[in-house]
Amino acid sequence: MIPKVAYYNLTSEYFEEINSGEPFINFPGGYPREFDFLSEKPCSDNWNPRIFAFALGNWNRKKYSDFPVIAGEHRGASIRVRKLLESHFPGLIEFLPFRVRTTIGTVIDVEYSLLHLLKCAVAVDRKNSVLLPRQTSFSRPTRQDDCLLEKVVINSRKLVEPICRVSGWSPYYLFREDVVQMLTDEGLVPQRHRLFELVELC
Amino acid sequence: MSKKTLRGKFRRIDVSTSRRDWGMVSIGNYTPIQQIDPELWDPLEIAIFRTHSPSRDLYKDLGRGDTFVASQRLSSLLRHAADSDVTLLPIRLQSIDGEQECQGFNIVVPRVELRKLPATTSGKPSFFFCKNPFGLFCSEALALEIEREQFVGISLETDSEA
Repeated sequence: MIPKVAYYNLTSEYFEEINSGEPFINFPGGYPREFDFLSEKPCSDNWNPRIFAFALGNWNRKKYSDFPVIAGEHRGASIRVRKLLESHFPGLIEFLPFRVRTTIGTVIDVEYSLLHLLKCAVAVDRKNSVLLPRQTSFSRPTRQDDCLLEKVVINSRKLVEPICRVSGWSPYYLFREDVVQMLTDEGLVPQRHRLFELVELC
Repeated sequence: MSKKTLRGKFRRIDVSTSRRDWGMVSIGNYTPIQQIDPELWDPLEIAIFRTHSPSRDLYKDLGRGDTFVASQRLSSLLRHAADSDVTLLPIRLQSIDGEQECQGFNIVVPRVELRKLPATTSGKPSFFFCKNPFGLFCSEALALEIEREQFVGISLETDSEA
């Protein structure tokens, strides 16, 4: 079946990157964990934009990624990505800025933000999706690291926003095909976007 | 060797916890501490404290349960009382926004790692890391010195098993 609308998942794939020595970002003490990134409420009131995250791996390069690899479940974006998405899709994403420095305190000249997707689609088809072993219900997860589903079937009619998350399937950050194309056209090649293959369109 | 015989010979050093403060810091450099060459260690390395201004003499690394950070005062005692058994790597303790910094802290790296607790204290290190039971241990004599100095935030357990 050929999908009418394709969505892409923005993934960090950070384990592979860490092992290869590629630069990545680590928040000390799991800082963002105290913010509810599953909530559709903005976090910025309590966010401290002056916080530093650690730059790890090899940062000895002049050109930094627009989609930095961040250890853990969070996603990040450069100021270029932020400006573009804020201008085209206001209200869909909250950008939570942070600073980056090495473990000996050398500040890296980048302007990155964490992405907080403010739209969460209740789109999992419960009848046809399969829960992970030991999971007994499709109840909405309250923690970032909840991942309830082994096989996911999505009701595509409920994916109405161009950028969103899917309730019950929290690790995925979904970007519609035209958004990915726009990022690509702007030279912000989304290296870590992968086709959202598990979607079954109804 | 029975548990009773060993009791009190060695004591597990750990951070004491409270509701407000779990005694945790995050060391930025994620290299396993045993793999670090002290000669190559950069004293500018940073650890982050999260709760409030550091008031303890001992912190534990949040990501690695076997790595501790000691205050200047505790470091001095360890340097004096267990110099041959411990390496101290200087580290700057900072707030997450980098605006507060405490100097004089050191990562505590025991030079000896044992698979199990020794049966006797005779000729044994006064300070070591043990795999089973897991943790950082010191001799009773060193524990008494630590207690005498009334350091803040240290727990010295006595019920270590063989």
